[in-house]
Amino acid sequence: MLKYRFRDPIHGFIEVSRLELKIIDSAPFQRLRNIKQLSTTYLVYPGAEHSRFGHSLGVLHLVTRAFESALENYRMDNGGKALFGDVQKEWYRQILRLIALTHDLGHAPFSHGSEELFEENLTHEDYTKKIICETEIACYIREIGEEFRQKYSVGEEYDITPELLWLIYGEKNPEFDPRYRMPDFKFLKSFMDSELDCDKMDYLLRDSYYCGVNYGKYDLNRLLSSLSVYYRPEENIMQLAIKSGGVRAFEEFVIARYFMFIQVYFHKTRRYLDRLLVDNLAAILPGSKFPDQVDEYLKWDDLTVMNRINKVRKDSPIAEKFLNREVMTCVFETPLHSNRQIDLTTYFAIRNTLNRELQNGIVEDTAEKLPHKIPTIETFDSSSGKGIPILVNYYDKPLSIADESILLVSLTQPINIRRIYVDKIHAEAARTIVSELINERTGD
Amino acid sequence: MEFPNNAAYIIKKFNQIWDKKPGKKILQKLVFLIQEAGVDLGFDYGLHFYGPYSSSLDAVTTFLSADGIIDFDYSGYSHLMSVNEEVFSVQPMDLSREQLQLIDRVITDFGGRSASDLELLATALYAYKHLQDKSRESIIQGVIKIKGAKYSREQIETALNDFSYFGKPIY
Repeated sequence: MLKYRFRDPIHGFIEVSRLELKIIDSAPFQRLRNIKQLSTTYLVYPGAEHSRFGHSLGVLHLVTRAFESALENYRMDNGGKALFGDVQKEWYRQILRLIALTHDLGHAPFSHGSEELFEENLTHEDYTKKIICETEIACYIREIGEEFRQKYSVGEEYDITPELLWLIYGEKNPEFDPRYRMPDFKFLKSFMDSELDCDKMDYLLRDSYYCGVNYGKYDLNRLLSSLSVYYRPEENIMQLAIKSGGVRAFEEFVIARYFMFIQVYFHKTRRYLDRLLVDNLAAILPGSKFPDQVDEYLKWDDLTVMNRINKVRKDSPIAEKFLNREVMTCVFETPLHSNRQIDLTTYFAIRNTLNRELQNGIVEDTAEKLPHKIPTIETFDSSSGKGIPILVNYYDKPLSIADESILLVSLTQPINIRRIYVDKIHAEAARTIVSELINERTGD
Repeated sequence: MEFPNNAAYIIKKFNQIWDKKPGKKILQKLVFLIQEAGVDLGFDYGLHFYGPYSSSLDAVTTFLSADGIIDFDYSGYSHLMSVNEEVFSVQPMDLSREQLQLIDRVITDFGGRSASDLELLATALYAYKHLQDKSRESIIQGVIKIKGAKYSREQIETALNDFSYFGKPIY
């Protein structure tokens, strides 16, 4: 039973149950209030002060709506035949809500901005696993499992445990675990990790709202109401799908990702400030790495980091720089989709010349290895499992978005921005060098 | 660790040996087979509905494309890849002569198979890798758990005949 309501600027009321509220009220979850969703973006877009806390609630809300909608559309299009039995459906629904609620618990301070300071091979998901399995949250998840079994009078096969949540959402090779249900669990995961997942659905709208931009907006209601399921029991395939009527909303959603990437996530000043933040964190963290131990790790949030940076500012030029928001100047950037010979050779020529002239005083940045993935257009049967089947009622086989949208096919070229920054005092000289080199190469 | 150049090298060898461009699915499965044959290229694999898949390999091909080292042909259904050595010459990195020979051999021996056949073989090898019980029946049941009835028992057993090629004993 859903009893408690949060007021959210994106989705209105978000309802949670009494036991879900226990998770929300726990210390590891409350920590998310002090982890900014968009790292240092608030130093560029002043409204971007929002946190992982609101986003986690938003994703919980959206997976519930998306799951209900996909199942209902499937039922309607299959002569009233439900995909799952009632208990199974409720079980999956509860599991999905818990995965959504807890999926970001492992984030480091300033979200993705500081992830390079994890011990080798660790990711924020590894910390999520530790937090859901090793803290008080584990007990609350089990309590929800027990209540579920009592409510529906079902056995251990309907248990809900932190380990089960991780098996479904985070485990790398889970298929042969006896608890793993194929293809159902893959289907559940796609609500959280696919080209059309609820994580992206929420953060695009939320980031857009708090940044005060329109780039991330799309028709959420149309998108949700178009969700369905591509189910081929004989091949063990059960994919989150979209009905053909929702293709325009899907296009809008992908384009929103594209614009948000360029205008917000990869903003040149934010990228530089993230880098400066990481340098500061490396200086204040013991051994320049976040601790492995979950209790120690949870002590780190944005407030801790800002306090520590503030403490060392007298003796640390980079701390002073960060706190005063002293940014380097971006003096050159390649075209958005630069993959032509001329773009790359020009970039390398500029980089080498500036390095020589400014005694290696430049900073470079590329879109490579970014946490916010660049939109790609996967075929529905791509082995990534992220492609979305498009269901057309007169075809047996679904279509892929590339078949249906010329607009999105044009986005298949990867974003490949490369930037060069220099200190403000060298900016004018650097710009002159850049200008001369470009004119030389273009013959102007 | 994975070297992007090695992925480009495999695409180049495929282009040379088969005189055609591999699609993403073929490349994913071939790199998996090459690793299972014993050449550690550093790509981690998971599994979705259509056989083993490495997101790090996918990311590498995206950035090789961004850097103009490989070209994608999006005109067909399969996103076909070819190397472009106008700017950079594609050379393998940190691989011995024996490893390069093994890569060539796997591409020669398996590159001509259909995406569906490679999906089955790669799935069976994936099952072998992750199941504790390495018996023939266990692998067959493992493949069935993943693929349902997409492949017949006979097809799965035929795929198991290739296991000796990869040095995987089954009993």
